Amino acid sequence: MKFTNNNLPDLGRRKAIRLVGMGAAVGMGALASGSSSLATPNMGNVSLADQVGSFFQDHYKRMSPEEIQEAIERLERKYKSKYQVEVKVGDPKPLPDVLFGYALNISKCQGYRECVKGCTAENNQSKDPNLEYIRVLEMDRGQMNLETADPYYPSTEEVPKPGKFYLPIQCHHCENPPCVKACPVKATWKEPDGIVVIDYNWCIGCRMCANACPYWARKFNWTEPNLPVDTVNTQTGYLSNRPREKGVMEKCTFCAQRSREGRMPACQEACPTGARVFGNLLDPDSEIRYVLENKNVFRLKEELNTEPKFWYYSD
Amino acid sequence: MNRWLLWMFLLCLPGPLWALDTEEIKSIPETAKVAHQYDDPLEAVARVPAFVTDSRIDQLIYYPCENCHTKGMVAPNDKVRTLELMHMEINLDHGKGRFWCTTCHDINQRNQLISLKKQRISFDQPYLLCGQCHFARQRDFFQGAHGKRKDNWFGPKKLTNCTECHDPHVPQIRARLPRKEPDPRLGLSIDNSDKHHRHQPWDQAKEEHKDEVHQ
Repeated sequence: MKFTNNNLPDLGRRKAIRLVGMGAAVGMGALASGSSSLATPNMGNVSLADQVGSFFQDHYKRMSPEEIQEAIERLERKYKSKYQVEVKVGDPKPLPDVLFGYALNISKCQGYRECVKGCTAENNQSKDPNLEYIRVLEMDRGQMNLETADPYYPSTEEVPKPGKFYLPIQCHHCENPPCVKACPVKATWKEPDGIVVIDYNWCIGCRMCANACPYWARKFNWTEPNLPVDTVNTQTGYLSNRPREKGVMEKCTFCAQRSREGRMPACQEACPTGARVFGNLLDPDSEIRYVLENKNVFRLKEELNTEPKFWYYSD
Repeated sequence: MNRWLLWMFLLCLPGPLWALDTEEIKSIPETAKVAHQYDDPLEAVARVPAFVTDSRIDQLIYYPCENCHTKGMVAPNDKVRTLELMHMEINLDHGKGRFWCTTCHDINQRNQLISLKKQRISFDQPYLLCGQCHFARQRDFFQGAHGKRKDNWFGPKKLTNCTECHDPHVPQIRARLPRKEPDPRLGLSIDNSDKHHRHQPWDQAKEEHKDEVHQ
């Protein structure tokens, strides 16, 4: 079944609220600018105009390029006041004739969790509680039982252990993504290059997508993300690794801020074993196509018809 | 009657298989040629997608080897022996005892490697040397299924050289400690005290609810 998500919800009510809010904002703005004695109220070092602007910010797909630019500038000002560093928020667009795919060699993966480290260094996740997009499962050899898989194998014992193999899972960027169907506000969608992204400003934090995802890929910010200043990655993207808020969902975006500029995702770059292959599925000369055509590949929970663009292979 | 017909039918089934002349299948026609062997190791690279690798020579501690080996300081010695003056740190654990230094290092021109067919190979192109035995890996390396592409997924292709990850003298990747384990879900904990049965965070919930009788 072909699934499209272009039908956005009826926005009559939302538009009405927005109009009322705009009126209020104009009024308050006039007050703030008209009289110097009426100082801007202290709202966590974020100006009133920015607060109002982000409150009435539209869905990413409905914003004009100018509105996106304004939203980005608002975010940059906010991060500057929050982290005291210049965080650059880019908005790379999907490249034409590109469909991203990922392949992972499970006979090469040794379970070092270097990909997890590379990912958290790149993607501005909360460090306490520790939020990680990649979960490396320690599995018994000769079976594919995810119920006995152990993601918590201790960092005090050497890997690979005899009789075990390692299966890293992350967002599989399904061609038929159940999370997108589950989202009641369409805050998550599949981009033309196959990456499933989230508009963190539009997410209401209902966690329906996390319920729908069969790969445990989605992570929720239950608390205010604790991101120490020295761990902030200042090169970010609007739909990918910009610092998030409390109460929003987040997940792997194939490092859209990197991959859309031609670079490799951080997990591929961090992998010391070369188990990870990333590339363009539409390019017949790409490495990923060679793997798909010449290796024994499988996809996780293929029977669910989610059509993941993440393959596992062994050799 | 029907049963007899079925038996007759089943007995006749293998007939067409016997008709095949197995000899004809096994014999190789005279026109077939022996698989072409490369005269120049670089020919292996000529027919695969273009790529570059980082220089390995810059990374080698002892390079240029000729400084000691062919400038009169050390006489060439091909004998298999225990090294006592230099290179003691090299523990040759590759090829199960079939190799000695000069299997891969050129005894006459020490700054080069040498193939089994006595062709010189640069230290920057160890994939040509390794590919003599590990030809399937070499093919995967050229095509991107083994090894690792650096920097970008499109544009000029830069690969990680064999010897950047594998020590050619001890090529197997060693076990080591992994990075920190993930935090358990909020409110749960991991118990690593019992090595044989590691308590999973969800076991805690099971323990708490074990008295409840499901009806």
